[in-house]
Amino acid sequence: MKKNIIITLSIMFLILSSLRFTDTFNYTLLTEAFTVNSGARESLPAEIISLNALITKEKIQKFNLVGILNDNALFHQRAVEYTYPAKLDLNAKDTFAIKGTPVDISCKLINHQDNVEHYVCE
Amino acid sequence: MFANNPPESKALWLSAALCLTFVANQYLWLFSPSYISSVVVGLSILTILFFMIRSAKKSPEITFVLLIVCFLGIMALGSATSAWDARSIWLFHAKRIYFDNNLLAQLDNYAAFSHNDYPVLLPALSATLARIVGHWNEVFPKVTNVLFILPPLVVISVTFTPLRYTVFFVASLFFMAGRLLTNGFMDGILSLYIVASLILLAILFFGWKEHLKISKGVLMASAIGHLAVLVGIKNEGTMAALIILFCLVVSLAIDKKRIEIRKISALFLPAFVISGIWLLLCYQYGVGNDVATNGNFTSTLAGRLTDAFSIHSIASALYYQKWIAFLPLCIFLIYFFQKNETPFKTASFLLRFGLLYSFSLFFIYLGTPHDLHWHLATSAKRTALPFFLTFMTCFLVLFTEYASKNNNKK
Repeated sequence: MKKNIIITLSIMFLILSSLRFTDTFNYTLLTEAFTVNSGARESLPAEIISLNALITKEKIQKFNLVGILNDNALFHQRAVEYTYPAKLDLNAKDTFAIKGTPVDISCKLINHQDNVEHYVCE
Repeated sequence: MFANNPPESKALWLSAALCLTFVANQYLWLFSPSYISSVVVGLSILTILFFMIRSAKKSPEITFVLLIVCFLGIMALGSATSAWDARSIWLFHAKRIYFDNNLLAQLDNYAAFSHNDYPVLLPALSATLARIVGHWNEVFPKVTNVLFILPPLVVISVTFTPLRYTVFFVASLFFMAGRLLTNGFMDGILSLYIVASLILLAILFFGWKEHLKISKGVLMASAIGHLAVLVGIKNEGTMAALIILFCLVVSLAIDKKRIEIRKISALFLPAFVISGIWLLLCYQYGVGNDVATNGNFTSTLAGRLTDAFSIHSIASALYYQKWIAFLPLCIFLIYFFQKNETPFKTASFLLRFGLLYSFSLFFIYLGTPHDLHWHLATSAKRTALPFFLTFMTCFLVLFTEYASKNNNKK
């Protein structure tokens, strides 16, 4: 009897502790866990996904960021890590900015995706 | 020989083999990175898991930890990788190894914010999985971290029997570490390796759990494996290994036991060689640690030592957590044992480590070049986990021994 109570309590304790994992669990993500690009929408700001789409589409290897994409630590770090193997380079011609960010007069807008713009600065 | 071993002994052998595979994987990336080497590592892990499942048939505790690892794996695969450390340090390093086909990719110090001096044992396994799968995404690479949880949990399942004590340990671990086990962070895994190493050393040196039918060779192999992985998880692993060594020598001296230098060297040397190689590589490439190189650690420490507000902030961030309750519980329970009893010696060893590790963290925070409040707010809860888990383990050691002592009396 005493043994049964201990076992029941242990199992209840375990189930209660397991609830700590459930708030971030996403069944759809589990079914797509091994799919290409899975999890990006759930982990990253939309601007970074747009930035990566532009970089991948145009096969850019080195890029620069201006405005909030560079100044905001979250955007900057997520951009650097998510776009890898493309690398951030202050001297790169391909420059990206959020729509409405003032850019150098020598920069020419060549493409955009959602609110992220791609400039080439000579 | 292997077939006649009890399931606990087999499981410990396999946990040592798994640790060795993790270490070997890192060096395969260094010396011969290829698709074949990744497949070999993958097959080795699958073979070990197959034998582990077979040995679990006769042991409910091992079956339970295998189920727990499956559960954690599913949770890791069903959650996005959004936490800062997970993304910007660990998975970014794994991504760099995978895309550059080079274990040392991060040592060019690109993206210095990602702490390029951190070891790469776990990122290397994520990169191996990515190479087997054939692409990278934001979910599956972190599931390899869950594999690292298996060897220390096997040690727990072998030592904390019957099953209810293993269940108590795992449930407490879930409460204390929670998502730190599945979200790509290292602190939960680091804590488990510390606790498993302490337990194995307590069995080897203080004669705890003498009734276990496990040979010294298996225990030695498992302890070497756990210590080797411990130093490769993150920088705190090397600090923990040094503190474990110090506490072991001090505890043996206090107990007036012979200090077997050869045995201790055999246990710790592989770990320190692995750690030394990594530190040497970082030094060669000019990659330093942010706490050690930004600003003057000693003068900051000296300045904060006389500042009551800083000391109060660190003390409350580190110790003012509900898990501190395990410390007075341990001190209370330890009085039920004689000084010459093995549970007393084991608990003293664990307590010495827990306290010394917490004091070391205290000093690191005192000398941090970062804004103290920012540093404490972003890390103290996680970095305190190893010593709280040690206190919890110490409590469980004393409680299980006290319970079995009472049962024997009846």
